[in-house]
Amino acid sequence: MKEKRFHIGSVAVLFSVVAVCMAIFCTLTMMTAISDAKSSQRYGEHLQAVYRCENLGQLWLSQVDAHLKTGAALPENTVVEGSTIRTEIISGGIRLEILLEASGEDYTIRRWSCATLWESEDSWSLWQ
Amino acid sequence: MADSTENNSSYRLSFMVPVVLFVLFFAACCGVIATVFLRAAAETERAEQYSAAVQLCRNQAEICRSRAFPEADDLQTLYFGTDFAPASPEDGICYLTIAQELTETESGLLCKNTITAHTMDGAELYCLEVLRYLPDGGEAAA
Repeated sequence: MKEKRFHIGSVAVLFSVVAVCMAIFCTLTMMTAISDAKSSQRYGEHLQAVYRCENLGQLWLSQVDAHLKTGAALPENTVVEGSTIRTEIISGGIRLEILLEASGEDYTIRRWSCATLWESEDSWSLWQ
Repeated sequence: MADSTENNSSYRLSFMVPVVLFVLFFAACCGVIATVFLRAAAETERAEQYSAAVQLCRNQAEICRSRAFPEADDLQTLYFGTDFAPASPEDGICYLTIAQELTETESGLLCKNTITAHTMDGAELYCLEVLRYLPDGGEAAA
């Protein structure tokens, strides 16, 4: 009696290797594409957060100008030290620091610094 | 003689079935892999378009912010081509719309520009709001 068996030749083995390689490449391509999409999404969100914070700064500036020109109330979170007026606005993980030098009804912007908030990781020592 | 023919047929069947199964399996694998490649390409294109929209909105936001007073140019629709350079409406692949809202304050003017990037079929890609304060309504600077 002749035994029935599968005839898997070298071509089949080669094609299997090609299929596995292609599967690996397509997985890597998909991962790169998803990573690119996430990265651009994060950048877009970060930019919106920066502009939101800048917009709050412009609003604060208008209120301070109104205070200097018409005597309107100063906005919250404003510190007056002599002729300098400063504030710190924190919104969406972004910190905006504004420092004005007032002279009469006019003002000069001395500092307008916008930076991302971050916390240093100092719970462990790198060199030990 | 009859026994020999039966043996040949059996041998051919035992040879063809695995080959056909393997070809079908390989074709199915190729189909799945091709689909994943196409999806990856579409995703990359979408990311590229989104990234360009962010950059175009940012550029326009900085132009709006640098102006000392509101201009009619701020309100136009801008078209961009395949390399995201300015293009005519016919050659454009995306466009920016800029809406302006002016609010008078006690001492000046608050100018809010809303910059939105769209694809040519009108779908919104990205939106950025820029507020700037114009002391004395921008008159002093003008």
